[in-house]
Amino acid sequence: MTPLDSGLPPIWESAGFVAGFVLSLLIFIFIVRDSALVRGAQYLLVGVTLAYTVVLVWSNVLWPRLIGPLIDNPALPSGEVTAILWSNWIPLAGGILLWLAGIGQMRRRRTSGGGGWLRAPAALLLALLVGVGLGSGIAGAVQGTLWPQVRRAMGEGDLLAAPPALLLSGLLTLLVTGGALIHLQAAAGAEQRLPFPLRPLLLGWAWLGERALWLAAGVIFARLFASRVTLLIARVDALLFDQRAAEMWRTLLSLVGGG
Amino acid sequence: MASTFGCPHCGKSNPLHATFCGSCGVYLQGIDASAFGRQDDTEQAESPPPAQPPPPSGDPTQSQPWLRPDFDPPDPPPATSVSTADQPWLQPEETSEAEETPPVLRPQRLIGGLQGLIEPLSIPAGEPPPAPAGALPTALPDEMQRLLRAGFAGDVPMHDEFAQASAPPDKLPARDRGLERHSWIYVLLLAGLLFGLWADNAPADSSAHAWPGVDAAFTAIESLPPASVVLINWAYDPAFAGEMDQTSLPVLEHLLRRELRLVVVSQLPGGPATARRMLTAADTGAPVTRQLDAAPVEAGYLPGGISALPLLGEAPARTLPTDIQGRAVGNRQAISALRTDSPALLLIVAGQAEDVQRWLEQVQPLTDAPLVAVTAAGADPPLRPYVDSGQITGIVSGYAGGIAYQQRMGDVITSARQETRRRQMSGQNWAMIVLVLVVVAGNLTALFEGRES
Repeated sequence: MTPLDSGLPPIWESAGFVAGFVLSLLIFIFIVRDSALVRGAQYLLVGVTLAYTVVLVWSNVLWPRLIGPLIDNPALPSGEVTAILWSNWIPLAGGILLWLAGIGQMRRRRTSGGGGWLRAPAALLLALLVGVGLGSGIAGAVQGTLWPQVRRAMGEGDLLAAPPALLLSGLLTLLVTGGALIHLQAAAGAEQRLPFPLRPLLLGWAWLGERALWLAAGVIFARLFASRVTLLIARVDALLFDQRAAEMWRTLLSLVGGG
Repeated sequence: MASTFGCPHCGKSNPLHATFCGSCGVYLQGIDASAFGRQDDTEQAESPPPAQPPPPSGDPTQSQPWLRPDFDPPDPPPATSVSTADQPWLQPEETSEAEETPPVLRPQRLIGGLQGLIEPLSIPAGEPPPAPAGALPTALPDEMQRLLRAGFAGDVPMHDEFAQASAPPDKLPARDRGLERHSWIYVLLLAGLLFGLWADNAPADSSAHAWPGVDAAFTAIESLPPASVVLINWAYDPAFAGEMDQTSLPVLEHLLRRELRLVVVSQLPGGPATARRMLTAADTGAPVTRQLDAAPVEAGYLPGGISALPLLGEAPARTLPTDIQGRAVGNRQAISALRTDSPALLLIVAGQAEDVQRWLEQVQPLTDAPLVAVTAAGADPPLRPYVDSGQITGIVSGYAGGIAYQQRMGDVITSARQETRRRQMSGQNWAMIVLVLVVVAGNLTALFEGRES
């Protein structure tokens, strides 16, 4: 046994396979018709996933990182009080506040009114969370996408001295990107505001951008669809041809045949 | 009274007086709500909403009124009336009554992270309810644009969305009919892939066509010094297992054989268990998996979404205090090494491009470690610019990428795995053949029908 082994007896592995088999069949009923069986399987999936998430968050996050340290050391000696205040007590208070505000919001939806005094502090906390998330996202987009991509484009060197294939690729990228932007943002509704000499050129550019946009959508969708077909094939293969499935089918057939 | 109307940009239901869409953030003031599926909670049951002429085809000023030359921005609304679909604490008291049953088009909030869910609907008893009048945008281009956005977002539109986009409102299919409307397409597709699986007629020596990046990924792992620390972001759960298991398995086998120190972290609830299952499957008996102290560190579930990633990039040892079973991992060798050194390699095993992009933006710039991505086939195209710019050192994408990586390792694949792989390739080939035939037939039909009309 290695540290990676689950330690579960083999019967549980088989039970998991059979449960997955039955639930897959239930979900596949959607191909024919939506029904209570399909929905039941989906709701089971949602419920089990949420329950698993609750257990995971408790065992991986709340207990080892928040509750456990607070029980062990509710207040450290002077000098470290500030640290435990910021890393444990304030997150705990904020979490409880958001939880109570959420419960209050649900109750207000049912009883239409009352008890909204928690909204203001909860909104502040929420604004902090959203702000931090947005700030991280924007900073990351600049440092991880925008700047490296611009730097790479600028680092190609003298454009006119570039190999013909690279030059053509760059020009095509510029043409299609500009055309798509004009089509999406300006051309159809604001052509009257375009300067007249440029209007036919920009409209033609937008026409090209529109077609390029749909072509790109087709290519991306085809790749996406192929990916989903792969998932379907893997599931069907597991249901019909996998070694354990084959054994199960043989057993079922022998039972049906009385053998 | 009137409560909601559909956003002209994304279709999400919004309060009638919302300034911005709660889903996509588009500016909603000054828009004629009745043209975009306005729903009156009290009036709808008594009388149907008045028929509105569809907005002019292709006229974006319907959805973007600020493009009109005569557009006059309205006065800013009170702070409390900002659309708060995802921020219930910001909602004013008076809106809570009016928003009791907003139509849900997609799984939201708590179950939003679950992959592959169909739309959460109640099962009606008896006859299916009539389609809500005026609930759908009547302009075909707007609806098609929404489907286009869904496709770009990696969200396969369901067949009834296509049907609703192209059918007149009085012929909309009931939403509980599953795939009945175009069932022949799905029956053909299923028949094709079943035939492929059954016939198993892919050549025994067939090789996969992998996109560039597999060799570079192999070289990046092969060139790591022994006992280097590899920080792995496990970003797929069982929903993508069918494709991702086959793709990630050879890479994991390679990592274990090289006896590298692996630190596995996941931001998906189902990620840690999936990672453990795959690490067990990839365990080829290398000494590194034989003792706890040197075994891969399953650092478990990392909460916090995008906000937690910068800390992971700066101080991974502080971010990962426990493993999947709640045991402290701070003293394990791999984590201890991360206290003083950056990881030698970042490995992202992800079903979707966004997860790779997050690490490229939040973690990699703080560590300067090379990054190798193992992704689903659908995630490959959006990541190509990062490969070209050198931010992604190597990429193994899709089923074909996994096979190519295994072949690059020069392994003799076990006969059972080889048989499975060949069978699934055969199914994939036949499914694609059927799909191409369906697309050609559909286009020819549309062409001839268009000429006749």
